[in-house]
Amino acid sequence: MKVLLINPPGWQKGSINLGLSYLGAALLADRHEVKIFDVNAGELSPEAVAEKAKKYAPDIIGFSVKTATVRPALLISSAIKKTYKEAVHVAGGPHITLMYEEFLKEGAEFEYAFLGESDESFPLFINKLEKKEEFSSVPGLVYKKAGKLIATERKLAADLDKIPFPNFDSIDTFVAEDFRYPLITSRGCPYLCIYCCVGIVSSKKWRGRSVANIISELEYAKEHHGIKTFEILDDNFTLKLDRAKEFCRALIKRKLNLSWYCHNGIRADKLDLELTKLMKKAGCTSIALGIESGDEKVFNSIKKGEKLSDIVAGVRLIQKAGMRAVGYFIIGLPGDTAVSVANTIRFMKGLRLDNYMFGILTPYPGTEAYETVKKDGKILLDIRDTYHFSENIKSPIEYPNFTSTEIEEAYYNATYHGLYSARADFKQKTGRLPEKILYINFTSDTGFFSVFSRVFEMTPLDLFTSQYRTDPVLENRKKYGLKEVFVYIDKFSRFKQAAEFVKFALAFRKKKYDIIFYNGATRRLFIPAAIILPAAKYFYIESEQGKYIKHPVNREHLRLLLSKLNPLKLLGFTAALLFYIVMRAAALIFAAALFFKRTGKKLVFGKEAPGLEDVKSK
Amino acid sequence: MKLLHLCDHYRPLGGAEKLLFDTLSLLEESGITNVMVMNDYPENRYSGRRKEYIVKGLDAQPLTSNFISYLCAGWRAKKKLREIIKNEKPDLIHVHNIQNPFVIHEALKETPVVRAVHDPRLYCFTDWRLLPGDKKICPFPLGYKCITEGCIGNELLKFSLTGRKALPRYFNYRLHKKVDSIILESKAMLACALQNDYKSGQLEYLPNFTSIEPLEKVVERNRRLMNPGENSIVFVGRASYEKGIAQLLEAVKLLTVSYKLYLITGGPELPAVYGKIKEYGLEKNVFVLGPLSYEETKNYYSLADVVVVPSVWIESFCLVGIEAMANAKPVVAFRTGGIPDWLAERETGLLAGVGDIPELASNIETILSNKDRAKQYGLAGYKRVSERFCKEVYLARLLEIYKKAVEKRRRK
Repeated sequence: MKVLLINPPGWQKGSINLGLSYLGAALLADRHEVKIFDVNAGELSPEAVAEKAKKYAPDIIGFSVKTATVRPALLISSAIKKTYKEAVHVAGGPHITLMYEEFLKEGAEFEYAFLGESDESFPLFINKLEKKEEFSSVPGLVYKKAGKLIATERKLAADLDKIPFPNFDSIDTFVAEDFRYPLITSRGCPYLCIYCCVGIVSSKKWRGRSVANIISELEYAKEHHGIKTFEILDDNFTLKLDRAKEFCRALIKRKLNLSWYCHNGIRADKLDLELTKLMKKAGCTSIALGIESGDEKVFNSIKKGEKLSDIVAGVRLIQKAGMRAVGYFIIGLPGDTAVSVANTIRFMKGLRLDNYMFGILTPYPGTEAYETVKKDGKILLDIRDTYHFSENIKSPIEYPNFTSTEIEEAYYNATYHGLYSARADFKQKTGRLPEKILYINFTSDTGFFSVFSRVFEMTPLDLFTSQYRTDPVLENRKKYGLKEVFVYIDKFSRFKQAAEFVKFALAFRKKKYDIIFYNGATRRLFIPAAIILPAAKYFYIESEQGKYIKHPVNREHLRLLLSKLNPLKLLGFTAALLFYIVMRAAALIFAAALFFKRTGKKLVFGKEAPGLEDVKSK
Repeated sequence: MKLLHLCDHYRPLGGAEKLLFDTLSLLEESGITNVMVMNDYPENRYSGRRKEYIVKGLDAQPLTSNFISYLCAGWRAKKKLREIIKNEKPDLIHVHNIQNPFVIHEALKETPVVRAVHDPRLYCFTDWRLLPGDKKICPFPLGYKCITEGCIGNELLKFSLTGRKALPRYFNYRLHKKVDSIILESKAMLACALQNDYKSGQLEYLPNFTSIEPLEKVVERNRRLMNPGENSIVFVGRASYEKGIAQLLEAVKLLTVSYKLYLITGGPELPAVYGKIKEYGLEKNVFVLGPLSYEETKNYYSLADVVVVPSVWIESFCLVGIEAMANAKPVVAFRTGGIPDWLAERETGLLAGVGDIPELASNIETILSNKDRAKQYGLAGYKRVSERFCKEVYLARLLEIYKKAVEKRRRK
C-alpha cells in the first residue's frame, strides 16, 4: 500500500522525527511504498501540504502527534480531507498515547490511533486494512466500532535488535548535510519521577539493544549518510553502566571517529569516572543531567531516587573527564515556592554548569504531578497551549502559595539571573537605576529586547547594529522599546572600518551611557569592543538572548580579547597580509596579460537588435 | 530525471528568481525531481517544497582584502558540493546565477552542466556592461578594451572590490567554455556570448516564459480595474541606473497629456528616485509603490494604459515585458538587448533608440492618446505571448536542451 507519514510543524526546527523514520523502515521492510513529509522542517501551509499529499495519492496517512503539534496536525488533516478524501488518517505519537480519547473527539478526520511504539503493529494494521480483516489482534490500536472507541492491549517490542534501522531517505526533503544522527540504544525507564510521562509513553520496562547492533547502525549511517555527529536520545542511556561502557569501548575499537552527545538527559547517579572517561575517549562532548530542582525538600519529593550530592558528583565527573555539563531544571514542581526556586538558582550557580535550561512544569496526564496539581493547585491552560519553543512564557499551573505570575517571574529570575544581577549591582553602586543603556548587536537576535524590557522595565534602549540586520527590529523600534538606533554601514577597507568605529565610539562617549551590553555573537568582536570599551561605566557581554551575562572589568576584558589572538590567528593574519601583497602583484600581471588579449569582434548595435552576423545565421 | 540546481538567491527578488521558481514548478509538474543548492544568504530559507541544501560560500566573492579567507570559503563550498553531488547523484546540474569558479569547477567534473545566463557577468568585469563615464553600452569583447576604456585597469591597480572580483570572474569566464550548454534568453545575449569566444555549439537560445490566464479573465480584470478617465503608466523593475528609471522620469516630464505614473520598484537608487520626483515637481503624478509580489503587480498591469521598459543596458530579456503582454497591455521600451525579441514594433508596442528620451516620451504619448490602438497592441501582445512565451514552448525546449547536454557529455 502507499503510505504517507507526516511530521506536523510546531516542534524544534532542525530536529528529525525519529519515530516516523523507524516506522518508514518497518513499512519498507514490509514492501509498502512510503514517503515522509517533514512539514516541521519547512514553512508549508496546511493547504500546500494537502496539495503535495494529493499529488502523492496515498492510501494511508499517518500523523506523528506531540502535544505541541496537536493543532497543526488537526489543521493539516482537515485540509487534506478537503482536497483528497481517499486516504485513511491515522494518528500516533506521545500525545496520542497520553490523550487519545480527547484527540479523536476533536479530530473527526482520524479513523485510527496508535498507542506507544508501533514499529510492529502499524505494518500489521496496514496488512489487515488491505485484506479488510478484523483489527482486534493489532496491539495498541484504537478504532471506532458502533460509535465507541475500542483500544486493544499494547505490546512492547521485546527484542529491539529485530527492528530495522530508521530510514531517513523516505523523508522527501531530507538532506544528509550536517546531519546530527539521532540514535536510540534503549527504550523505557524504570524510575518513578512524578513529573515524567516516559513510563507511560515508552513504558517502565527498560529494553536495550545489543552493542553490536548499535555499532552496525552507526557504521551504516556513516557509510550511507556520511555522518560525523550523533545524539543519543534514550530515555535512560546509562541505566546499565556495564552496557554503556561496552558501547564506548566498541566505539573506540571500531575507530568510527564520530563526535556525540547526550542532551536528552541522563541520571547523575548512573555515572562513574570510568564511564565518563570512556565516553570522552569515545567522542562524547557534552552530557545533560536532569537536575530539576536544587532545593533539597522539593528534590526529595519528586521521587527521582537520587540525592543532591549525586548531582554535584555527576557534574564534577563529567567536567573532570573533559566534557561539557548541562543541567535541566523545572520550576513549579509540587512543593515549589519562590524560596525553593531561589535555592535552586543558588545551587545551579554553585554547580558551575557549562549550560543550563529552566522550564515550567507541564503536568502531563497520567503522571503523579498531574494528580497533585489537580488536587493541590490549578491547571490553567489546555495542555496543547502550553509553551513549546516560544518566547512568550505562560505558566500552565499555579498553587495556593505559588501563583502563576510568581512562577513566571521565578522562571525569568532563574533563566536571566545574570541580567537581574547587573541591574541590582548598578543600583547598589550608584543608588539609582540605569537611565542610558546601549546594546551592541550586529547579529539578528531579537530575544534580548523582550528580556531586557522585562528586567529593566521602562528604561529605553539604544541599539548599535549593522546594515546587514535582516529582522524587523529596525522598522519596529517602538515594539522593541528602542530609543535610538545607530547603524554601521560596512566598509570594505579595514582602515575605513576602524575609522567608522572610532567615529561611533566618540559619539557614544558623548552620550555617557550607564551600561553597555555587548552581544557575544557579534562579529568583529575585537575592533568595536576595544574602541568602545573605555566609554562605558559598566560593560557586559551578553549571549543567548540575555541568558549569559559576563561582567568583565576593563583589564580582564582586554585580556579576554587578547587571548583570542592566539598564535594561529597571528600566523593567519601574517599569511593573509603576505598573500594580499602576492594577489596585488597578480592583479597587475593579470592587467598586463589582459592588455594583450585582442580577440573578439566589436558588437554592432543595429536598428533591429544588437547582434553579430553569426547570430543571424543561428 | 533528477536535477541539481545551483542558485544564489532563493526567494522572490527579481525576474531571474521568478523564472527560477516558475521553472522549478514546471519541471516538477512534468515529473522531474529538483534538488536545490543555494548560497547561505540569511534570507534564503528551506521552503519544504523540495530537497534543499544551504551551502556556505556557494557564491563566495572576495569582498574583503583577505584573499586567503575567500579562497578557503570557495574551497569549502566546492568540497560541500562534491559531497552533495556524491549523495544525490543528479543526472544534470543546472547552474543559475552562481559566479564562484570553485563551484563551477566542481560541477563540471562528472555531471553534465547547463548554465542559465541572466546578466553579462559571465564576460564582463563590471556588472552591467556599461562604459564608465557616459554609461553607454559597451560594444567591446572582454580583453584589452576593459583596460583602455577604464573599466578595470584602475580597479586592479587599487585592488578595489571590482578589481578583486576580476580574477575569479576571469576564471569563471574560462571555465564556462567547458560547460555543456549555456542558455541565453535573447539573441542579443547570444551575440554577446559569441563575441566573447564561446563556441556556437554550446549556446542555446531559450526565451523566458510567463504564466498565461485565459483572455476572457484578463480582459474582465482589465475592464474592472482600468480607469477610463486616467492615463496610467506603469513601470516594474529595480530602482537602479541600468533599468532606466531616471530616463523614464525625464520622459514623463515631457508629456503634454495628463497622466499618473506608478513605480513598482525598490533598490539602491530609490532615494535618488524620490529626489528626482521632487526636483521635477512630479509629486502629484508619480507614485512609488515599492516592490510588490506578482499577484499584486498584476492588478497594476490591468490598471495600466501602457507599461514602460526603459532599460538602458543590454537587457538580457526582461520578464516584465512579457508579463505586461500576458495582461494584454502595450509596451513602450528602448531598443536594446533582448527587448526586440518579444516586442514587435508597431504590433505590440513601440520602441525608441536607447537613451532617446524625447522619442520615448513621444511613444508613451502616442499610446496614451490613442486608446483603441493601445487595446489593439495589448491583444496582439497577449497573442504573441501565448504563442511564443508560454510554458509549453519553454518546457519542451528546456527538456530538449537538457537531453542535448546529457548526450554531449556522454559522447565526451
